[in-house]
Amino acid sequence: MKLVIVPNKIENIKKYRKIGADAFIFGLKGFSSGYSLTLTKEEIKNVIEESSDVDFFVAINKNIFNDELNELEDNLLFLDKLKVKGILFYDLAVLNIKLKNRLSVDLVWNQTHMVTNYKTCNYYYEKGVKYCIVSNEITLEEINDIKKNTNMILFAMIIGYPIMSFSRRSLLSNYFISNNKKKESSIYWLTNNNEKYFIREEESGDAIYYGKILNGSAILNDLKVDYAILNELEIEESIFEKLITLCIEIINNKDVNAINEIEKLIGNYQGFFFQKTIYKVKKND
Amino acid sequence: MIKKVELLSPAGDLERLKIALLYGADAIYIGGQEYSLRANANNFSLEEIKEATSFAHKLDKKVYLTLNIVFHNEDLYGVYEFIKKVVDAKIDAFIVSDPFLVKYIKDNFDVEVHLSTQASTTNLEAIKFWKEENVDRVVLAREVSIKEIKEIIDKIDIDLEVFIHGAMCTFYSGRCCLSNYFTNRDSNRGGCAQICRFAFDMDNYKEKFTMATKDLNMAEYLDKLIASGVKSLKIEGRMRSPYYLATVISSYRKLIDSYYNGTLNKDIIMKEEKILSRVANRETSTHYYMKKADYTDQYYTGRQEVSNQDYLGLILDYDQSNKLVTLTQRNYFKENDEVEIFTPSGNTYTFKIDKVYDENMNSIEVARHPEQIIKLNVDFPIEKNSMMRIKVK
Repeated sequence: MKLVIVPNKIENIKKYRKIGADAFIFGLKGFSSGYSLTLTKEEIKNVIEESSDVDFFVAINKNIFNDELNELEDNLLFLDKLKVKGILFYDLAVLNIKLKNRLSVDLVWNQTHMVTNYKTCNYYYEKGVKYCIVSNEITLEEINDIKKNTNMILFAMIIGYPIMSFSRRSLLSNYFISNNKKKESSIYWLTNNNEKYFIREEESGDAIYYGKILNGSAILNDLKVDYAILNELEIEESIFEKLITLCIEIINNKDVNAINEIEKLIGNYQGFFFQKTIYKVKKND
Repeated sequence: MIKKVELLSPAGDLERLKIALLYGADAIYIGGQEYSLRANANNFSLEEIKEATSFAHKLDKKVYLTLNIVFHNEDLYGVYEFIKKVVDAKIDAFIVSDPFLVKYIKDNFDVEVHLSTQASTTNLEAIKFWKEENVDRVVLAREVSIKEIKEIIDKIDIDLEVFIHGAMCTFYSGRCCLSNYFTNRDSNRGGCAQICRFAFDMDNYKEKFTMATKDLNMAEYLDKLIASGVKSLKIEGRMRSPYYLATVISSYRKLIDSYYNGTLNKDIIMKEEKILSRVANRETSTHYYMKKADYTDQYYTGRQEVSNQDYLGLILDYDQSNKLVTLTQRNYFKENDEVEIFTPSGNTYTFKIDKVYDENMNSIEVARHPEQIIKLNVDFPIEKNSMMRIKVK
């Protein structure tokens, strides 16, 4: 299993690489959502040239509109020439442009909450999509079942704040406009019924995150995916550094103490790994 | 003859389906008891789907079935059989979001597939992808503008369907799992708990943070939407009441017909907007159609729904010889109230109630019990399934 990091800043790429990270994901400026680190095409080119011994994935995961299609195509043609390991996509415009132009760059199916079954994985695999990031909302058993039934290379987030929803609306800005107050940050914490969440605004819209850090360290050796994602968003750098080191310990040496150490740092929220969503439409007669 | 744009209504059960068709919908979308995104609607059994298609086809109208949950591995078992049975029940189209199902249905059955809005399709290039996959119609994301719709239609020959009326999601369809985290109910498998309508405390601010949207209402700009070339205009709300559906469908039917016969004008639009506002339980806006949705399209004070008691009764029968209408009561009314009856064929009659009788013709002055059978003197014949409401002023 490889560790793939979603870093908060460009300087951390080298630092985390030294600790042992195998790969990195960052956004493309203007075309990603939910990434602290978004780079221009030139910056991506420089990063790749400076670190040839590591894999880079670029997230183009925003919803695309007509007036962005030309630029999207230019970007994909540009990235195709670089040694990008893969491009994460949400909008099918990305896949269609790849197919139309017969691009060789690999794609990562990254439809956030929709990567939930192996049949759809196989559908995209047949379309030439090599990787996918499984949804945070499915169980360990479901993830492993997908792995068993597809040739796709799987990613799963094991540490990070889970994204719950994404809107095109500027919800935070709207709040401050309506209350005649000044927005001073792109992130604010929300509380409802004693549970914490946070909202993050960027140009393409607003995302709401669950307020507990997902901790999948205890299942790292049971999780049959190829890439485990650690997302630095809203996590203190010094803690995140330790988390990478400890995860490597778990993968390489099955170190139980490392699992305990991680729990001390970020708690033991295991998301949906062992919790099936219970609500489902009733059976047909 | 010009083919009119389709008016597409939701229906949560057979009663609603029949009402919507009688009041002017050209097609209905329904959910089966599995694989549909509105688990709280009654939804249709296979027998009911058969009855629905039979009823609709006799009127030369159509029925579409939503099959738009985000499938988990466990949901795959049985879905093929279910599709076959629904095809045998003569469904006109499936509304699907998952591409493997799109392909499966198109490869195996001669039936239309409409791409669900759950797929959040927002651009021409994505539509080209779906056209290659033989999708017959794309239900566009609610985040696109009329200008963008026109750009798409100018460049590709595919049927587009758009929402025109009803509740809106705060988030992109398919990009929201709030219910999963708040309630363990799966948003994308029919369990949406409308968490976006909750109020939150935010850091140290005293004003609550809310993200609830106003509803959509495109009555004023319907002409622009039709002129853009869309093929279907969709009403939201499989869980809405028969009265709501009758009112909304009836209004949009009039607007659409007026557009095509060249009589659509500001007066007609204002009149129908007034009627629509009487069944609305939230304020409305045009969201993304005319501009990017902004702070004016939301609420900032928590839940904003208001209840509505305009609906007075459903007409069951008219006795021509005694000039008596029989209805089943829905809300309080009394003698001397000014009311109006609107009919499936599009007529509206206003009158003052003189006497209120119970089922046995005892004079009772006031109708105060829901479902009570009531008789009224009415001088003119009234179609069955007409509805009585408080007079719209």
